[in-house]
Amino acid sequence: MTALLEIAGLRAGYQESIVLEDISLQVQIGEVVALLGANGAGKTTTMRVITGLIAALGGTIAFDGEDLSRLRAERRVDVGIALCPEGRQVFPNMSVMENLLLGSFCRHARARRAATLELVQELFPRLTERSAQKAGLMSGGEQQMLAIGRALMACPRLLLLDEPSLGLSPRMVQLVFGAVAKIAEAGISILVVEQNAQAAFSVARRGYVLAGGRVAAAGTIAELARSGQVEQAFIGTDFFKREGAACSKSGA
Amino acid sequence: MNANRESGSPTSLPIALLCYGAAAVAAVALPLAGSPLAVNLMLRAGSIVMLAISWNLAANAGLISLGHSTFWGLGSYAALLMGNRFGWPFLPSILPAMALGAAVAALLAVITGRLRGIYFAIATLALSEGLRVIAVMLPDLTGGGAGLFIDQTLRPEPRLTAIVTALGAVCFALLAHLLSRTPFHYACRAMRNNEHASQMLGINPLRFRITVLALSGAIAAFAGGVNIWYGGFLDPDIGFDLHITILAQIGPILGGIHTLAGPIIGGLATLLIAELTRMWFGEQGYSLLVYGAILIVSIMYMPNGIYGTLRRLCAPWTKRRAAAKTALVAS
Amino acid sequence: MSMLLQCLVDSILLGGLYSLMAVGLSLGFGVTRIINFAYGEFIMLGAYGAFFCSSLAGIDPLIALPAVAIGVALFAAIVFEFSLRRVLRAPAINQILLLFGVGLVIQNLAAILWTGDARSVETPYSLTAREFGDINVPDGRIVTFLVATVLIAALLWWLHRTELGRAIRAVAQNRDAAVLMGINVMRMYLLSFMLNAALGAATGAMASFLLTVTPFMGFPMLIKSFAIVVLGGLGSIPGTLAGAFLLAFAETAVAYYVPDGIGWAEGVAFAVLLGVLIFRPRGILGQAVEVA
Repeated sequence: MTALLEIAGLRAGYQESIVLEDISLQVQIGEVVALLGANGAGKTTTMRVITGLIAALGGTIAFDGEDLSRLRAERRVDVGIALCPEGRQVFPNMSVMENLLLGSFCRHARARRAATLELVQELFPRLTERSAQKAGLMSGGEQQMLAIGRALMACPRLLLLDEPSLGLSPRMVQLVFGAVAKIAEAGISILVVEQNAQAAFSVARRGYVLAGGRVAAAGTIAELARSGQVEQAFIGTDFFKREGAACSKSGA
Repeated sequence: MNANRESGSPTSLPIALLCYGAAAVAAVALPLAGSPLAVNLMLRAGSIVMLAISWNLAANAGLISLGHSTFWGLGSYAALLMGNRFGWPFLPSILPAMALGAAVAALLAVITGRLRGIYFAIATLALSEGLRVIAVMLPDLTGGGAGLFIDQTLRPEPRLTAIVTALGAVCFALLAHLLSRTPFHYACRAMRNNEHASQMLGINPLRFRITVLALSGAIAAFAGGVNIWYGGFLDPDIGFDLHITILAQIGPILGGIHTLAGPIIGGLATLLIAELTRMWFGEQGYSLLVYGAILIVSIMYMPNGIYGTLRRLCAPWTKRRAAAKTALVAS
Repeated sequence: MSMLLQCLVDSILLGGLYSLMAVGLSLGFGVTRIINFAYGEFIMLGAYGAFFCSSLAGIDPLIALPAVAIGVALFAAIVFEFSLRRVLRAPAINQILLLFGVGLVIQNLAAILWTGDARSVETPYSLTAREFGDINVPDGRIVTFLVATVLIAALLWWLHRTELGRAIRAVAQNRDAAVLMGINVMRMYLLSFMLNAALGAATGAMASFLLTVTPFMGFPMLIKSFAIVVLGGLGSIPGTLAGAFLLAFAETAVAYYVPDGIGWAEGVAFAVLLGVLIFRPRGILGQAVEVA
């Protein structure tokens, strides 16, 4: 079996700073893979390079056996890669329905729009209720559902989720990850970036831990959990911050 | 962009002073010795260079003016009215002209507050056009659309106006040069990159904006004030002419924005190009067409202007010479 | 009383044309974040297009309008491809000055090719008027108001109900997210610049029988568009419509009620522009930058 997504020796960064030194990872067809690591480890950058928002400086990205490097960002949606970006990035002054319709802007998705829309609305009944609501006026959790639904509207073979739990209440995290599990059951491959390792472990079978722009550890969830490398990657930069955030949230 | 490139090499002050001295001598000698044509050329060269320096000063602080004719026009009207109403002769009348230019520029700095970038540009454009309408609508003061002649008995010799213009250009160039050697220069760069950051450096943005714009306004008003004594006639379309606004911005952009030599080189190059097109086509419309084309070409292909491009072209040459020197030493 | 009523009717009719004019500028800015300083020249080209269609081929400006708008839009596409596209990543100042230069070139080419003479287009409706009691309404103004209304409605429909219209709004609201939807942002920039030119040209085609056509007519129109767009908040279409009617009302009221008002009315746009920039830089509706 060939990997759906195969990244080897990836290097990337912004103007003067290299963020990704050497990243290699794979996502098999139908697999859910977690990408873990502290802030600044390069998780979001990895996602942005896969979608083409940032150009790679070295290494290869192959999707379904084909090299992606020559494909412009907007064309990568056509081949079946959809990103649900960090911070959700919904179109704030458009209705929920318009946001979803934009999700299926690319040609192959437009042809199957009605059927996909039905599936997405089944997955997130809340979006049906709020269909005419301005997206910018919804709660964070609802916006997250919309962002995932919008990405699904592109009929992706690989769904990239960047921090879907960011800023959500524990109940909402549960709801969102429940939906992610259902998406995985439908056979869509998922690469999910998470700070919330527990949530990520609830859906993923394998994981990669990034640190300093490199893959620090890789393996099945069980292996990673046992080895303690996940904790190690978080401690120092992020552990205390997360604790602080949890405190302030429970206080509010 | 490093500091060196903007301020010139720090060791060059004596040489620079020598250059300014030579330019000042030329500014006096050429009109004295030359024909009316030379007088005219000297006057226009001085005016263009002053406008370019004035525009570039504001641009250095991130304030892009699209209405420099405001200050020029105000200077012209002030000088003319001082002459016609109060009988002030040429030279003294320039002082109130500069004061008015500086005052309105300072007022603009205050009222536009924190507006930057495109908003400031639009505000200046609106101000110059608004003043033009006001000048048309107040015939008792300005002669309205029909315009006014300056009192003929007071008019100086043309060559005196040319000398004053050219000397003024040299003085203001020297002033800009000296300013660039003070902390003022760093404050400018901080302002244009980030106003918040400049606040942290201990710069008061408002006071700074007022100073920069007032200086810029005074210089442009000086040019306008001298020109009205040379031309003798003023109406709102001449005073608040879009042509002046364009002349002011085209010099620095063609020569090299945010540099010392750029506006001067660019201003003189603009004058040269204007003269050449007039020789070839003989029509006013072509000069604006050419200015537009210069703007487009400079911004697309020469964003650092003639000065920046020359420096870049010369860089490998000076480097090679330095390399040859070290090679000689080594052998 | 009838003077007030006449003033109101005049300003509403004028507001229709102003709306169309300013919506073009606003839309272009909302998407590309670049203020088109050559916008007035697109209006001028539209007016000349209509003038030549009428004087050379005897085609009514309103019939010629679609062809003129498309022609100017194609011209704008060339301008975009050969100049603007290359400075999209440059500082805003460079884009402004570049477009300023483009405007200068177009304006002065027009002055050279077509002379600076003032021209006007005669239509069956440009000299007639109808009376409603004391109120006198020129037919030409009714026609422009109706056509402008129809065009704006069509534009809004297109922006909200079509695939491409939604894509354009998506780019205006969140560029990166639009890329993730598979939208080619550069193509949307081009499209919005062309739309901007087409709307300007449509305004110009109608101005051709209301005003005199000269190569320099664009500049005051540009300033008026600025005033309206700044008044309504940059990039907001509802704000732009409100701003258009406000400016039209202010100008008309000054023309009617102030001594020498017709001359002063020319300065209203500048006063409004300065006033808003000073006191309410986000516009009267206080909106953030957005499209529709």
